[in-house]
Amino acid sequence: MNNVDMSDWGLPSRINHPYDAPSAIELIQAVEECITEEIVPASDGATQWKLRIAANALKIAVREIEGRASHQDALQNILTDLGAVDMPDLSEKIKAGDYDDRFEMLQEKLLSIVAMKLEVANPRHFKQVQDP
Amino acid sequence: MNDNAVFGASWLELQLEEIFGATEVSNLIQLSGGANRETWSFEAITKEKPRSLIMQIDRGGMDRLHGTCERESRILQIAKLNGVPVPTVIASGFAENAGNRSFSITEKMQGETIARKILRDAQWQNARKNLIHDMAKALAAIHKIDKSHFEGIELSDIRDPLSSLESIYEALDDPHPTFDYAFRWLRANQPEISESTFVHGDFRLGNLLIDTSGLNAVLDWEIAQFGDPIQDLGWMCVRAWRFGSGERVAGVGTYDELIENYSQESGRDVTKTTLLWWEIFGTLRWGVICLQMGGDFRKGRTNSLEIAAIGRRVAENEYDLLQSIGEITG
Repeated sequence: MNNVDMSDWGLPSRINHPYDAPSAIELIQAVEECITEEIVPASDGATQWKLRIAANALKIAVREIEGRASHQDALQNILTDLGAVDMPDLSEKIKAGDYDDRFEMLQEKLLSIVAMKLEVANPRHFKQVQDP
Repeated sequence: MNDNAVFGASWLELQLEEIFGATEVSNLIQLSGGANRETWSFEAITKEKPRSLIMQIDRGGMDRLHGTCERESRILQIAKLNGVPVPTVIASGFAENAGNRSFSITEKMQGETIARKILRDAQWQNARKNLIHDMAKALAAIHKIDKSHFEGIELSDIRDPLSSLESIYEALDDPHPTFDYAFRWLRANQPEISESTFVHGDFRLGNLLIDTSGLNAVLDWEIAQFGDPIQDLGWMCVRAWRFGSGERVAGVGTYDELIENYSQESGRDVTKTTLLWWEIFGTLRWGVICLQMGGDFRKGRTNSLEIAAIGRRVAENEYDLLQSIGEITG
């Protein structure tokens, strides 16, 4: 068994890690798949509807854990570009009219921030028109 | 179904006895939909005939929602008398055995409310064709109801909708720069508000009962109020209420079709610029509501998973606001 190369599994190593596998993300994914593939088909009505919301919430949680580090850095860079320390500060500056002469630039930066949120919350929403 | 539940069959039988005499309730089923209330359908066997009924009750534990079902039943009765297609109210009141949550019992009408089915399934094809006309006609009837009919019902009269929405947003104390950006744009481009009529406040697919020929009933009057009538038109154009369809108005039609039909039915002149302003206002309003619901969950006012999930829909509205304002200014 010593010859088995764990990296082939495409999963992050848990060697020298305080916890055993599966990882937090893997556990959440397993629950989501169990709900979607096994429990949803066996239920109906209000229960099925709630289960779909539950499965979707778990998908959001996984995307948040995966995206957090890079999004946090990106957000800080955008705020720096806009001369704001944090989101409440940016709100105050917008309200004070600080960007009124650069409204298009503001819009572009806000879109970058919102795009990160949407990538986690609901990436399907980017499509202007969804197929029926 | 547990017969001993607070709103189980025997509780319903008790409520209906005064109206129909001895009544036997069966088939009590909870329906999906509605973040603010529970909706149940059931059959009632009375001396006269069997009836299919709907019971709605305020969601527990949310003070903000207290009394909404009872209040709505009074509004339904007024709407019915004024030619708006709505279900007939059978009974309403407050459930003393369950934190005094208010409830209403109405006749169950035929049709579908689930937007995605109405927009996609072949059986609603004919309904889709008639929907813009039917919705415009119902809205004109709603906006025509004399305000004096609502005496005794607490309805807010919103003369400055933007400031009113802004104060709701500010009270949440949860800054969202894109919302501030949208408020600033809306303020700079606000059309003149000249009129205050009765408005439905949440007129869109999901809250409309559709049968195979078109609109059968207008439901969910919980946020009816007085205000500019065009807000009801703009609200159903909000992207969230297109449910994935490419058609701009309620997922079924064009701005021009809506303007033409509504102008004909109501006698009001509506410009596309005004309609789009109200659509963007509506998008911001739905965004603020999503933010509020997310806050309700975080502050422990509800443990509803559905409400928690709606908190994450804030980003969709921010994106739509940036897209819509970008389209107009760019």
